[in-house]
Amino acid sequence: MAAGAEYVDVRVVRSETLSLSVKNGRPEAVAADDDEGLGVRVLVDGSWGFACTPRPEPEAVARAALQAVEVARASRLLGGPTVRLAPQEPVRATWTNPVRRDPWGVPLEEMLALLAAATETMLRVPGVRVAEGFMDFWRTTKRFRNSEGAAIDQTITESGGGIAAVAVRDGEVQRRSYPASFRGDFGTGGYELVEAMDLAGHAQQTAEEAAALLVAPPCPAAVTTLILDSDQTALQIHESIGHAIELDRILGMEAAYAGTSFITPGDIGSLRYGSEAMHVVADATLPGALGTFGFDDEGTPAQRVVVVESGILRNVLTSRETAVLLGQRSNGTARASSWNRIPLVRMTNVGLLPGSGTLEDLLADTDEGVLMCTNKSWSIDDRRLHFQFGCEIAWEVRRGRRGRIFKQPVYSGITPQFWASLDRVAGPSEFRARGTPNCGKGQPAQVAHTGHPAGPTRFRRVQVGSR
Amino acid sequence: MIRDIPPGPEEAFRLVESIVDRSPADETEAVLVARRAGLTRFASSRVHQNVAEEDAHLLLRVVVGGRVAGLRTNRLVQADLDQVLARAVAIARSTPEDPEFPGLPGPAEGPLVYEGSVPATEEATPQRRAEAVRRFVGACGGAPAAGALETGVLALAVANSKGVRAYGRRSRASLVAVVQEEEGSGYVQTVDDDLDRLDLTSLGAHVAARARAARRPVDLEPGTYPVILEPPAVGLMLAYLAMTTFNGKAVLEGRSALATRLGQRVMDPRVQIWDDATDPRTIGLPFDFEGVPKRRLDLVRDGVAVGVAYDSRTAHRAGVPNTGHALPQPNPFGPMPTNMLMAPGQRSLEELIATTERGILVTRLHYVRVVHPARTVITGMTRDGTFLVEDGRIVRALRNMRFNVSMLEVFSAVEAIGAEGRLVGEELAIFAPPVSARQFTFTGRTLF
Repeated sequence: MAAGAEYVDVRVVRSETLSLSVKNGRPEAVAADDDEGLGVRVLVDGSWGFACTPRPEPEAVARAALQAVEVARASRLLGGPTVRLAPQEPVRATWTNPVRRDPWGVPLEEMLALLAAATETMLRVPGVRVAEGFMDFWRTTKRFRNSEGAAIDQTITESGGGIAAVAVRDGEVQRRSYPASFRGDFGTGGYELVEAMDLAGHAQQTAEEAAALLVAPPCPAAVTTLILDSDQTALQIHESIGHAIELDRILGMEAAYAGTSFITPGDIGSLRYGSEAMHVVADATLPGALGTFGFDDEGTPAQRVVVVESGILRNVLTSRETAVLLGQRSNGTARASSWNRIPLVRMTNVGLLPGSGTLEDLLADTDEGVLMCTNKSWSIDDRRLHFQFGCEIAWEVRRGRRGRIFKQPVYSGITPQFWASLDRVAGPSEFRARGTPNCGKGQPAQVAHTGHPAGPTRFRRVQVGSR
Repeated sequence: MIRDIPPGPEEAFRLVESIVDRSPADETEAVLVARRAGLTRFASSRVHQNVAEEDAHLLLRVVVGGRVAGLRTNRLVQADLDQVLARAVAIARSTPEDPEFPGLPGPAEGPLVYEGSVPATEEATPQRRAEAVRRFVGACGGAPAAGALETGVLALAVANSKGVRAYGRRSRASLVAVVQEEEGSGYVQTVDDDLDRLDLTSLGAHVAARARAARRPVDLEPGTYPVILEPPAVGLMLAYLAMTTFNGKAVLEGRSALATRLGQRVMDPRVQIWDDATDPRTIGLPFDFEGVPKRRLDLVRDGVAVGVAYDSRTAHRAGVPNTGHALPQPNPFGPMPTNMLMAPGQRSLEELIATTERGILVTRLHYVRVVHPARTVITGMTRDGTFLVEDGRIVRALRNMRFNVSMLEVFSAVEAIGAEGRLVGEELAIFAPPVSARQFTFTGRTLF
């Protein structure tokens, strides 16, 4: 403050990670990470500056603070509107998520043996050439202080894992994963999350489906009824709702990199996002989900925000800097991936509210269509409108029953048209908060952990096919 | 533990050698990755984010009785390095033996020291970056610009218990920007090791003109069309080939298209692709994360697939020489080329356009994802400038389109290769020319 800043916040963050990769019964990568540093963010004459250091010495910290001020002063060179912050009462608090079994207290041998057993089971299935098992654990300790008097200490533990079988024959390669692709599923909590997955118990079926895909026909092109499992529904939410409702994107702050949004500020409160069956909330308070925390990285308490109500857009995700431009207070989604990154508007746990029934009820209620499971590829335009998503496996649905499996299934659509075709969401018994630990955004790049409560969903008149 | 970030070779070697020397493990590898950077980000032609960072972390790999573990830490001051070593050894002891681990690589030659940094770029101040952004924005003629200008330096030092010693240091300056004109936008991406060599004024004028040309886009029926791909589009396809196809681990596991096609013609005979971190047209270090020296690696020669990238682990398994393309270890992703070049042709971009009867000019690709790795099928959208070319000239802007293509098929259908190669790539540094191809399949379109 003595150097001329009107606002300062400081975050000291320590991140410990443990990452295990097992292939064909043997460890392929066993790695631990211990990372710590301090970031200083300042507002000087209405412009941001940020600097950081991994060094704990007082001289290094003071140097970072002065450098942040120098950076902020340089920001003024191009002029422009000054930054204002939405008001936020300073909070003094500590927060930690429940952990029943601390991953750092679990013997490595136990974890590796579990993955070895699961991968060996998969490898015994004819056609499977590569069997992989993964576990990842993160423990992040954050200390936040700002010049308004906030003092917040948080410790967040996250855990998860998964298995995958790769079947290869005659130039054909097919992959099947459990419980989700790209290293599995994750949440806030301890090793109990991995234990609940029963990776070994699902290995045989996972591998058999990978092998069966080698000889399965491609998913036929059609406009038909599409049922998504909860994993793919979570991905659909992440890409076509979660990113589109980030207010910094809506305001053009990510225009050069991730892109913008088809939503404009004037749409909030009136835009028809989807059908009457569509209800979306962003809930950072949801126990066990990967986007759960006590306070965001600006010291704003975690909140539950109604995003879409009966298909109408009600709210978007905000930070203090962006919310004030709508005349609002922040709803607590400003998050930084590390000590050396600034907080950006990030998804928390953006998910659907449950409807009724089970996946089997949805199938029984469907005369003709396709069921697609487990994300394989995802691509969407820079305003979050046109998308094409691919899944690992599909089943033909005929007269309420699953039929043949199809390989390489994809579907495509335009976001508001697609969500307008949502006619049914399964009930609470099918809901899971899927964790996405690889959400990229920002320059320099940041990776965020987000959660997506989702169950199976049904959409009408969707273009499906195979790639 | 280190005075400067990034440290010079003497200080860096002192740190990594001291760790290797005091390690109780059978084999030890210590890698120091140190980075200092500043990034000035702008939107609506105003700076809205502005950051400076420094970090130095140690990647430690230890081998105890054939058991391998990796440990990464940046707590070089707080943590007692003996404790760090002890923790790595304890992790290794908890893992089963790794029968595929070939041992750490030995030294191919004496200590390798490479300092290719431009001090003025390493030390660029926030003020200097802001002035550069102002110059670029000013050249855009009032059209709103959004982007990021980054300057910085990366140093890498490797030592292992078999005698490998390598140190390298490179500066880097890059600009990525989108300029908006009504519903149209233009894009520029440029990178160099010298901030002064980024020609921001002419780039600003060029991208603003492209944005003006991209106004009032119209729909075009999806289908298979001839295309002219500008260097950012070609470079991104090469990056995906690097990850999925020229990756030695993917070849060994049968996931790469080259698992069954090495030695075969996979592209047009005019296509030459290689990796060479020492080529002045790219920015790289002459050794990998295991300290193994890099040399030119031919990947596609006269359209024939002739090579893929290996690290020590995959090279051992394949029974071939290590090409020096290890990523930070241990790494389940496998090795990949990071400094690819594609040989330019003879014709200018204007000539590629002038010789196209009907086709689509694509500035860049967005949100590319692999749909079928073994067939090199990717999907994605066009972005920031998609144009219809008729009778040899750009006739109108098009709304962005979705594509689904096999990359090998696109490079097999090359019509011509442009002469003006450019260094592109936000993570990798890829030298790519414009390419026109006879067919490129668009499967959908968006609303803008």
